[in-house]
Amino acid sequence: MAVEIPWLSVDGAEDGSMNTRLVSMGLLLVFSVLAICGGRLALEPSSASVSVRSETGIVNRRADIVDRNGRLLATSVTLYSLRGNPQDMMNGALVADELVTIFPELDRDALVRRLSDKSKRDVSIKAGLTPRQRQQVFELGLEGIMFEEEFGRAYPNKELAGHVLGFVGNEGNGLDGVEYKFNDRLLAGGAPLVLSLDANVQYVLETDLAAAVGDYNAQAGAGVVMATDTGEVLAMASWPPIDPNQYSDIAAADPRKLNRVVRAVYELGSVFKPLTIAAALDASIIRPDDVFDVSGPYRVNGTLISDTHAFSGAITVSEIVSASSNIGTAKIASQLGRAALDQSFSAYGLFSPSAIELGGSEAPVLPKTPSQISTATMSYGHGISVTPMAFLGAYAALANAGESVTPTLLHEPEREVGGDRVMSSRTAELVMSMLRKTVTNGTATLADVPGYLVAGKTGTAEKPLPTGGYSETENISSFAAIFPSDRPQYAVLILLDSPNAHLETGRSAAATAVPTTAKIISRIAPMLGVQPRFEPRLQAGVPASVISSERSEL
Amino acid sequence: MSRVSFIFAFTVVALLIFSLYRAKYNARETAEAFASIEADIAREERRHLELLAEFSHLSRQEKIEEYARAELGMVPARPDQFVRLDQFQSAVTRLAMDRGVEDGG
Repeated sequence: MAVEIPWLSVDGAEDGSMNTRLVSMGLLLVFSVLAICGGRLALEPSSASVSVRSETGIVNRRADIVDRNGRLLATSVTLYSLRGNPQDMMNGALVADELVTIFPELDRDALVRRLSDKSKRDVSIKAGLTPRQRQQVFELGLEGIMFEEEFGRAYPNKELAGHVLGFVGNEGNGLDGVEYKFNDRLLAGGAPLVLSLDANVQYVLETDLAAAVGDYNAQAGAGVVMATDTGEVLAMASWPPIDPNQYSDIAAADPRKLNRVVRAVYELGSVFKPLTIAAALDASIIRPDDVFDVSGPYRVNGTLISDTHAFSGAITVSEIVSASSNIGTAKIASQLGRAALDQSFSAYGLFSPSAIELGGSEAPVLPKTPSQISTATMSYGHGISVTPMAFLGAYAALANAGESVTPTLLHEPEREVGGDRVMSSRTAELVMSMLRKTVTNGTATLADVPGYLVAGKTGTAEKPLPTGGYSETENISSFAAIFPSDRPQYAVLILLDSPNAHLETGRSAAATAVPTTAKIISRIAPMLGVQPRFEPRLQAGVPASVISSERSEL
Repeated sequence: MSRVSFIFAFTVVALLIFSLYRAKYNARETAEAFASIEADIAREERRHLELLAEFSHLSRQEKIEEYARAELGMVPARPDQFVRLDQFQSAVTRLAMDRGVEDGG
C-alpha cells in the first residue's frame, strides 16, 4: 500500500514548485550542516601536535656547569626511585636478596622486614638510580617492583671541586656553592655556566693537598690557584673534601661541608710581611737597602716581640722579608703608623670579605682597638684573621704590577679587567724581588722549582686557642707563591692546619707548606703553558761567552 | 535539470568534505609521526646527556692518572724534560755528550 506524502508530490505545478523549493531548502540545510562540520573538522587544532619535548624535561632542564675547557662538572639527568609493593610479592625476602646483589649498600635485613610487611602497598627502596641501574633491576624480572622518574643533578667527577660546585636540593634549587649563587641563571637553562676552574689544575691541587695533609698529619688544609691578571680562580680546594652527589646525606656540622678557602678565617702569620713592607715602601717610609737592628729584644708596650731564629745585628729590608723577621717588620710598621697600615691593608682588600662568587664568604676578624702592640702584631699577620681567598686576592696585587685583583669563579674572556692601583708598580716590583730572594736564599728554598722562578713567602702562625692565647704545639702553616717571578702570571696559596710532621722535619711552613706548593707548581705549570726557563749550563773549560754565542746562533 | 544540479552539487560537496576528512586525518597522522620523532629526539638527547655524564665520570683525572701510572708507567714531566724549540739543538748536543761520557766511562 502506497503512502501519500502531500508535500513530496509533484503532480500539481504549484505543489511541484513548492515541493522543489522545500527540497532545495532541505538539501541546502543538510549541505550547510555538512559543510560546517567539514569546516570545523578542518580547522580544529590537532591534539597530536602537542610537543613531547617539554614533557620530557629536556627543554627546560637546569643548565650544566663546565670548567674553562668545557669539561662537564655538573649536569641534570633523569634518575629513578625504586619502590616496591609488598602485596604484589610472593616472597619479600627473595626480592630483597636479588636487590642486594645490585645494591650491596642496602641493609638486607631491614629491607626483608619492609618488603614482607603485607599491610603496605608502597615502600621506598632506593632513590637516585641511574638508567643503567634501572635496567639492571628491570632485567631481574622481580614482582611488585616499580620505578618513579625524578629530577637528578649529577656530579660525574665526584669530589672534584665539590666545595665550589655546592649541591641542589630535592626541589631543584641550588643550596650551596655556585649552584646556589647562580641558581636563577642555571634554572633558566640554556648554555652551560662556564667556571674559571681548570679541572686538571683542580685535580692536582686536591690530590697534592690531600697527600700533604696525610704526610704531615694535619687536621685540615686549603689551597687556591689564581691567574693574577684576570683574578680567575683556576683551582680551589678544601680538605677534607666533599662529594656533591652525597651532599644532602651529610650532617650540617660535618667538617667536610666547610669550604675553608672562603668560610674560615685564619691568622696567617708571616705571609703578611710583604704587604706591610709594600705599604711602607709605597709611603716612602723605607727603602729596600735600609737596615734595621733586629738583634732584639724588642718590646712594644711591655710585650716582647721575638724572632724564631735570632739575628745578631742589623739586616736590610729585603732580608727582613727573606729571613722573615718579626722584629724588623714590627719596627717598620711602627715607623709607618697604624693609620697608614690600616689604609693600605684596607686598599688591598684585607678588611672586607672576598668578592668571590660564593655565598657566605667570611668577614675578617680585626683587632678591636688600635694599639701599638696590635699594629706590631698585625704587621706580621697575628691578631688579624682573614680567609685564604681574601688574602690571596690582596697578595695578587704584588704580581699584577700594583693593581688590585678581584677574584672570580667565572670564565669570561670578554670581561674587562683592570683593578684599582693600590701600590706603585715600582713597589710591587721591589717586593717581588724580595719574594724571589726568599725562595733562592731565605726560608722557602724548597720552593725553588727549577725553571719556574717561584717567588713567595712562608707563614708559620701559632694557632689561637678558643680559650684565649696561642697554642705552643699547633700552628697554621702557609706558603703564598707567585710564578714566574720575572713575568708573574699565577698566585698559589697553600695552608695546612696543625701539621704534625716528624720531629726531624719540623712543623714549620718551610718544611710542610713550601714543599707541597713546590710539588703543585711543578705539576700545574706545564698544564698552564708556563715554559720552564734555565740559565745556560756552564761546562768545565767552556767560557760563558761561548755558550752565549751558541744560544744566539740558534 | 534542477534535480541533476542538486545531485551534482551534493556530490561535489560530499567529495569536498571527504577530501577535508582525508586531509585532516593525513595531517593528524603526520602530526603523530612528528610527535613520535620528537619523542625519539628527546629520548636520544636524554641518552646523549647520560652518556656525556658517564664519559665525564669514566674519564675523570684520578682514573686516568691511575691507569697512566699503573699500566703505562707514566709520571709527571720534570721541568728539565722540557726543551724550548730555540734550544733544541744544544739540548740534543748536550744529551749526546752526556751519553758519550756515560758510554766512555
